[in-house]
Amino acid sequence: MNATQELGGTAIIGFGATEITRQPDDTIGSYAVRAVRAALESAGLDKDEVDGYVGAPGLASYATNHWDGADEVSAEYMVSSLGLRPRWSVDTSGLVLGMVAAARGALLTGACQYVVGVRALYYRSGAKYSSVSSREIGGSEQFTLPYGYGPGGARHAQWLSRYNALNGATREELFAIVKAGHEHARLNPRAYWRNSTLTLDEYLESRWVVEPLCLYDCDIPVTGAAAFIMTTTSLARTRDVPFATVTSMSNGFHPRTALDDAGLTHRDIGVCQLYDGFACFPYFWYEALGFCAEGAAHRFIQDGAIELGGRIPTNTFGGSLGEGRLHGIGHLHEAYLQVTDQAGPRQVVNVEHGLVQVGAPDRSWVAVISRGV
Amino acid sequence: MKDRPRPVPDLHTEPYWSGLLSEALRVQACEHCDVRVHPSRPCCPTCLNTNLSWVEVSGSGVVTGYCIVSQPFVAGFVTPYVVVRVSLIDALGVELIANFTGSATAAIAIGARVHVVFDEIDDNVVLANFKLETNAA
Repeated sequence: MNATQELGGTAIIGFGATEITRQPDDTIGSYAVRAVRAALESAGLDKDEVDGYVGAPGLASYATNHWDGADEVSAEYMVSSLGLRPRWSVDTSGLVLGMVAAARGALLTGACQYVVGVRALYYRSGAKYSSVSSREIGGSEQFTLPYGYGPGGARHAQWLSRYNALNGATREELFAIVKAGHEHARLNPRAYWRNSTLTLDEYLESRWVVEPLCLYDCDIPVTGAAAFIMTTTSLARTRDVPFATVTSMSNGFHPRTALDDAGLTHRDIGVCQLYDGFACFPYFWYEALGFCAEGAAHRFIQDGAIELGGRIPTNTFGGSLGEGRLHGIGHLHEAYLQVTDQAGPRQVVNVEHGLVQVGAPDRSWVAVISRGV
Repeated sequence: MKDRPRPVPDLHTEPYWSGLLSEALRVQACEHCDVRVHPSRPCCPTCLNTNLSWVEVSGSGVVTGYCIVSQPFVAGFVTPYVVVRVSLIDALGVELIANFTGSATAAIAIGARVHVVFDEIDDNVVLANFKLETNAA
């Protein structure tokens, strides 16, 4: 029993999500509110029972105006839109598992009993995504943007160039991650790429974004929102809904701590949701979490190993590469669905523990999400 | 070129950029534990000492990562262009981000030995870029 479990533990008792689109017909505020309504319904919770709020409003939209309620949503906006009077609320800095970590602390210290967490992303077709036109760059970026380095995953492309060179990894091997994302997306009606039939040839012939990352190695920017309801495990047991426990969490600097604190090894994990904003990210985690030796992930993932039915089904909802770029809320959602046996046609049989990781390899969280009993 | 983003030096970074104007590549050195620090920080990340001085380095380095930017994300750049990550041989732990110049894109490789070149963007800005070292051992 780890320290969190001794305190009683926390649980996710409901989840809701909107459709995913690149042609939004409404404001981000509307998407976020619809996600919360669906989450409340899923949890069987009245909104007046909600006494906590956690959000992650940052980077909701790179290319639009940063107007609260129109293309991003703050805690203030959501609290007033939903008519909440929370005892505890906070906006965190962007990573979905950071929201969960904050909510977990609030629940375990008794600051509140039912937290709603919201993540919403906004993209409008035609917006110039990720482009930089500013002529004056201060702060840390003064050492990078003057060299045209930053947008489009340049940092991660450099990481992959080194990984490939040191380990003899190839694009054909990396395609296994993209392929799994697109294959799994076909089983997820919300996924942007739900009708995809991407082939290796199409992948290899697609244009470079930042070599060695091609178009399909980058997740697609979308509009969509999802929301979850968290409470303590003891309160979760009083409600008549399936729930998932947040068994353990650790910062990505100590990836195996999440497994250790849960008393588990990678062999106990039935399904993985690994953040795939760029296709190369999961390489890092298969190695860091012990699924394979260092430098061996590019071989480990071959022959269907990470697809449904394989050794460790990964990103079973399609991941960001298949579902769309929701910055990790899709990963958490899928972990909840899998351990509560609600994943429908993509359900992995008998999943007791799922692993979720959100963020780039150098800025990340890891969590073990387990079937609630 | 005229549309490219320019660095705006601050109290911590001004010596770096003024050094480049006189063709000197400098990084910070902790006066307490001698660790090399770049990009400049308010303190040494090893011992938290705030007394950091500027030391000139040779400009020789090894490519530890690279990418070829093909989509025109940043104004003023002509795609494709190469951005290298260079580990300086006489400043342990320091890596610079820079453009790779003077050779075909295909010449870039992990482990390549490179040397700094000073590229003048305008009268007030010189960037530290890197080219293949010609006399590599």
